[in-house]
Amino acid sequence: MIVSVLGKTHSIKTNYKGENTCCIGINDTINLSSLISSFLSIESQTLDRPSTVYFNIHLYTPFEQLNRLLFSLFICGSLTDFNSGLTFSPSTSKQWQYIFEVPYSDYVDRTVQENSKYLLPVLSMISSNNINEITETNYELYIDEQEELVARFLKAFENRTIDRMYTEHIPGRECPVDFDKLTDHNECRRYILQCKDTYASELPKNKIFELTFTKFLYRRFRFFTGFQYRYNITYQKLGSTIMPQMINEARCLTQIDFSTETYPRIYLVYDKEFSLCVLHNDWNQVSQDLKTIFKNADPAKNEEHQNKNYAVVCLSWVVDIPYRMFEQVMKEMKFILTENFTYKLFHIHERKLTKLPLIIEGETGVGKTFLLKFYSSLLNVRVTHGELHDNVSPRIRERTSLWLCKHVFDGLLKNEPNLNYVLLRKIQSILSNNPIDDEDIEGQLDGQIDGNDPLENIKKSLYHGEYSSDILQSIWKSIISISTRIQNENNLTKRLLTDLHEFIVQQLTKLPLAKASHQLGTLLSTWKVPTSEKSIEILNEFLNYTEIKPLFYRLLLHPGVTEEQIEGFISPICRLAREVPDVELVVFFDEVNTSSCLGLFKEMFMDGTLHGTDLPKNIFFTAAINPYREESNDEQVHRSTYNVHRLPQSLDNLKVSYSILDRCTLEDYIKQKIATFTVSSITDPTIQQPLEEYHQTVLTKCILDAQEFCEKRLGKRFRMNLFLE
Amino acid sequence: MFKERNSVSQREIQRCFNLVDFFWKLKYDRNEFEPDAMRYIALALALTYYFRLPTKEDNTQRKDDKTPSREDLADLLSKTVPNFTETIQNELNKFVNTDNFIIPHGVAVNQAVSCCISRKVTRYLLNI
Repeated sequence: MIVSVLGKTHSIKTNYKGENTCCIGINDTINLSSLISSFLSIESQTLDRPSTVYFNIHLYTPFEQLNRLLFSLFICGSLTDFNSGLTFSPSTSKQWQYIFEVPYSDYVDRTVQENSKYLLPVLSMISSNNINEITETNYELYIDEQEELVARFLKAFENRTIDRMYTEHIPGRECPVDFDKLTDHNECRRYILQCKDTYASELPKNKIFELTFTKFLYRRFRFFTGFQYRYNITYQKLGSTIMPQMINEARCLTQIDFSTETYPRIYLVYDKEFSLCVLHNDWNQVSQDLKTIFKNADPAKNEEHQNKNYAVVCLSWVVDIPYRMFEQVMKEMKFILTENFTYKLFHIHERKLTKLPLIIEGETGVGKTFLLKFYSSLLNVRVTHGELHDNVSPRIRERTSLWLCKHVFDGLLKNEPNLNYVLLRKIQSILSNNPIDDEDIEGQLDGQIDGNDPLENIKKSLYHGEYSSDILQSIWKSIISISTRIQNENNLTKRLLTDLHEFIVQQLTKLPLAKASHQLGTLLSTWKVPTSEKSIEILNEFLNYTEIKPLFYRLLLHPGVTEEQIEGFISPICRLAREVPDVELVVFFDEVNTSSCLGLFKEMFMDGTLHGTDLPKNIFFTAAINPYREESNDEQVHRSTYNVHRLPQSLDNLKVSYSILDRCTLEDYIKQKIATFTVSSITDPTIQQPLEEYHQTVLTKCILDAQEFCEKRLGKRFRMNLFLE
Repeated sequence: MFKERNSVSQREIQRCFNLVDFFWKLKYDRNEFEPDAMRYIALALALTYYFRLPTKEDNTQRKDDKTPSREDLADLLSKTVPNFTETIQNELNKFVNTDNFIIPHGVAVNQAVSCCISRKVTRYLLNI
């Protein structure tokens, strides 16, 4: 039996778990029948070897039921589910090892040992000597590659070797600044904990904070493995100048709180190669030491960044996407990047890099969902906006357009001058929105293409995907109808039809994010060689009704949601995540603490497993919670609308508060929003123009006043106000 | 009930913009040639914030002295949008009347009814 406050799961995974270990997560409900089936399958799999079963028991487990179950299994020697008739009794000839992880929370006033006796009396009776409490001393911070790297540079900082510079001892032989790896884990641990005690003594003493702090440090210290640092010949004392800033950043990020306006605003940002830049909102606030690194010149004023939004520059630098793509996503999603959102996005990304989940605490409507949705689009912008080849992004229309250009025009139709001429006329008529009859063109079969080869222009437009799906369909229709009319020995029509079929089938298998409509599936399987009409129908279905799987998933929870439903929600996402390892999926559970299956979330978020099976690593879990408040009489009426549970402790340490936007932020937001808001011009309704400046001011002031009025005078009651609804 | 839950948030602000845009495009009394931005702003504000509040009279009847009234908000907004209340009342009269709606006999078209109708209609049309 393993008991402790935090760090149990990790300890078990590293110390006890072997290949034959079966994990069973016990959350808010116990499904006896599936539990027995897991036991049966373990027994059948490991006939000749001892079996290890690891129970991950969560805080919200129904302990009475669990105790009965354990009694039945260990004392009576069998487990029976009366509903399904399944029975399991461990064979006596075989060795079974059971590991129990017993939850504990600081909120109960029992010691860790007492607590486990209280929760699982059956176990404490039958194996009272086997309780293993995890404490600071017997389970210390686990030292992995990341922790070693952090410790290595902390040591260099302490003994001042961090300021070494690139030298060429022997001419022609490079000697970049590198440090020897630390091999002693205790030494590593000492440096990390010492750093935490010296620079971040206010951080609560627990594993989660130690872990987060170290991970944030790791992310920053990787700068010392980058080119700019290792080959530094320009900056004196580069290491010792930025080290305190980095530690400070890690400290701030570990416990950042957006509910007040005082969150720190100066951060070093790194690109993929770990070159430095600084994100700030006021150059004067940047420390003198840091300024010297940037040669006392504000990078925001750099010529390179002229006419650019500096916050966007820094964020695209951090997320590692081109500036123009960032702006494009902003425009598409109508996202307004206020200062506040800049730092929130920065924090979200930094948190994602630590591979820990993000839990946002905030009232309804502070922009959580939209912010995460926007972030998800940013993460995958290379997939959705990048080059088409080597890419899983569906973009059906662009792909079809490219296929028409390369395969049809440059391939099949290349040596068909007659057909090309007629086709060109036809396409030109489609493009000019002035359709002509096929009969009309056919008289001119021997005509010559005049001018500067308009066919090339069409191909160019196809190549760049400039045509809408409707035009693409019309083009296909014309190609088919004309090629049927002009019969030739190559049997062109048939080739066109089979190739289209082949192209679509191939695309659908190649692109896991695209899902064929039911209709398309039936069409493709019935018509291996489609008729002309069917091919048009197939193309239409493919272009217009192919379902594109989203990269951002949101599930709104409520007390009625069951574990099975959550599993049903998450399993297709996991399947997709495994199919597209390059894509980062963002999963957002809204109002997670209204749910009664918090144990399951703890397992998914912290342990990275779902009922014992590992979850893919390219899913970033995020959640939002409504603030947990102690019940008070004044609030009672409103509390009844949502009842929230306390989070398991490990999750509780990962939350970050977002408050309602204050007037400054709101003003910033509204101003930027109004600037992008356009109405049709008075003189020419086809032109969109911004509101006149006077009206912009009036609207801004009114919205601000009204928002503030409602917030102040009605407060939370306004959120629930159903008057006249 | 759950769906209609309100909150003062960015959603409200977006709602305001959508409404200004809506009225701009609509120009529902066709006599006008020029869009009247101030009127659209007033209407958008009314639909987003003002109509959600009870009137002074409602409050008196319910013996509620805590909830702020529509009039309180109007006082505040009138500082920026002159004649706010009059504009809204005018617009309501123009919009909710027996020409536009079939209103059963015996129903007095007071402000409560008309603002309720206009809120529901715009919400339905704009899907907000």
